[in-house]
Amino acid sequence: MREVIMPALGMAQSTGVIVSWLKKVGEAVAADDPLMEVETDKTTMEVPAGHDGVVLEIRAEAGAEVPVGEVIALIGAAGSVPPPKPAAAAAPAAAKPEPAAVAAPPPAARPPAPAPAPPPARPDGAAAAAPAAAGKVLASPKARLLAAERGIDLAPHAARSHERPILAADVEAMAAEAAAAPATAAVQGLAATPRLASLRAAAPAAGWAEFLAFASGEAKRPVEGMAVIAAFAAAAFRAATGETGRIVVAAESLSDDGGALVLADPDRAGLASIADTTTDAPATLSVLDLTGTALSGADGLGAGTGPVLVVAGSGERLDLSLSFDPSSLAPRAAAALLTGIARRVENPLRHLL
Amino acid sequence: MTREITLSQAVNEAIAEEMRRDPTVFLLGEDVAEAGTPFKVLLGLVDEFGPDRILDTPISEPGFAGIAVGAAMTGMRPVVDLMFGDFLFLVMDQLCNQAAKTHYMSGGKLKVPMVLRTNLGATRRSAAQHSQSLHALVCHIPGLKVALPSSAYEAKGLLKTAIRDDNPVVIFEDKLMYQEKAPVPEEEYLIPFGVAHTLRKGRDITLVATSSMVQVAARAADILAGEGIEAEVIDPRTLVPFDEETILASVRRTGRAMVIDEGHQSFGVTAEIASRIAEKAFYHLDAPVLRMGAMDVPVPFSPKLEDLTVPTPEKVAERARASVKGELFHA
Repeated sequence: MREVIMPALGMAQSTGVIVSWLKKVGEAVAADDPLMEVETDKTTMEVPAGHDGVVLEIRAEAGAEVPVGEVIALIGAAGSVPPPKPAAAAAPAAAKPEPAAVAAPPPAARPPAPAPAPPPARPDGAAAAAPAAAGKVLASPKARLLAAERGIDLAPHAARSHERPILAADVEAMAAEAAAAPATAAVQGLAATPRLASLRAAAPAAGWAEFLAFASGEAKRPVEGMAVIAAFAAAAFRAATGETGRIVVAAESLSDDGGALVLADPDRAGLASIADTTTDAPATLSVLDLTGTALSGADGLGAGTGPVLVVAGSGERLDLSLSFDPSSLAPRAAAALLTGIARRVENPLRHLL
Repeated sequence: MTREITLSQAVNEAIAEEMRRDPTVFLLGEDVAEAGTPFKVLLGLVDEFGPDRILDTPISEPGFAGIAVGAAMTGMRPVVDLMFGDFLFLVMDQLCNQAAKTHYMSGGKLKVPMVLRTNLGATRRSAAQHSQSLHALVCHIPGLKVALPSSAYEAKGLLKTAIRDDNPVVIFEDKLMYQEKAPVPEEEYLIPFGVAHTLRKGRDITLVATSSMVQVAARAADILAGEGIEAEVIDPRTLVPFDEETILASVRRTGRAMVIDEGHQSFGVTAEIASRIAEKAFYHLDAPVLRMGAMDVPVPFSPKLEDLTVPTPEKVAERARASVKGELFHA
């Protein structure tokens, strides 16, 4: 089966108008037979079929203005069945102001009769994607990196990106827009989706307080337990999942004097500088620190949509619970993650090794 | 104390200082003694050091380049004066097959501590055989170090380092800059190889430029600054060894880069540097990496045509501006 496309008859031609079809669906054609009459801004000419066979399908009616390169007919062996029509072919021609194609204005309607333009197929105009687009997003590497860091989906901007590629500044603007929209403002603080499963562990904490005191002494400033737990969690996550890229941990303490930190790769920082790895990126997992409070557990809190580790208790024992979505983190990996964290709490020197 | 001297004087001082310091240093080439070279760079050296250490040679580049390789292998530190960079083609075997490979092929038993001083640069109306910038040829050969001073200060510091290096070093001076002055300290100083110099900081685009093109890039940055575009200008100083880190760190900040070099644009220095940026800072790029070299034509003798073949501040600014404004789109 062969596709017939709107040919480029002039050097700077972007669309052509089908004046008339010279063959009907089901009719046999030879490659040299005139198949249709096409009008460009300069001329009207007959265009040969280009392939031997039977006209299986005509996708653009007479009078339609069609972008160069778009499939307008199929030619194949008699009796073969054309594939289902792609949705885009039924949509108005590529981002051009004029209505076109199957909306079928009368053949004589050029120059344009602006009156009843059909509404775009989709409100964001994405259906207008030019043939080149096919859903592919053109964006600079830096723009893609920024979008990934900020959790911005560039796919809805595919069509527009073929007019002008998406650059870093565009992503910044999208991020600002997203932040301004109240519906999506809850990035930090409250859970976005319920986690469906949870695991619990307890770890003797005798060495823990001592370790924090030692670390604070070495760092010559207080080292927060929450930041160290974040580093443990990142290291254990890496071991459990084989993740080699960046791991962002959002840590929050609910005690009176507690704060919140979002840390990038805290496991790769030295003990003294864990708290210096702050970032704005979305969290891979989050830590909720209940030590220093009377709380023994919490549900439904934690930043982002990744696993949430809740740490409670004090003195002799820390209670750890991990809630996670089993469809994104396998229970076996979750178990390895929580075990890894518990063993690090029990014997913090493991982390340093 | 710092005074202003010409690039020519800076080179002369560097050689004189090193010859006073080290009796194994000597100089050879065509018209180097009484004439002091056609560019008058070496004037006066023969008076101080005599014709035994400032050797006028016959017009035979392969001959005296070969003598230098042998002298270097046997304990001397020759400085070869190759009158025009275009004559590199004549000494390719001595330089690339002998000097560059002797240390390796002798299992480290022999060293070739020689310096080949030569020049590059068009717009001197010297026509196609005396105007080329051929440094890319020697950068391609492992075993050679390559330095490209961009001012009198750079020329003196880099040449002194070159003379003290135990490897063969090719140093290219821009023949149009011999009479240009720059502040140069009276005290001794060396400029280490492989350490780029950031002349100007900027947040919008990184301009990496070599030799004479450093000034072109700096003037382009002035033009852009007037439009609110901040260009960072980096001079790698040596292409071998090459300070990749300084350049990558800059591009990671600016997200855009343009490489400017006076060698022919195709298959040369700009391509090498641009490809390293694209490979190693890819995810930080917000625009395609741009290059500007000399046009891929023999350098014309006609002044009007010759001027068209080399990058200018205006041409660099125009491309950099388009990059910063996101106007480069070839998808």
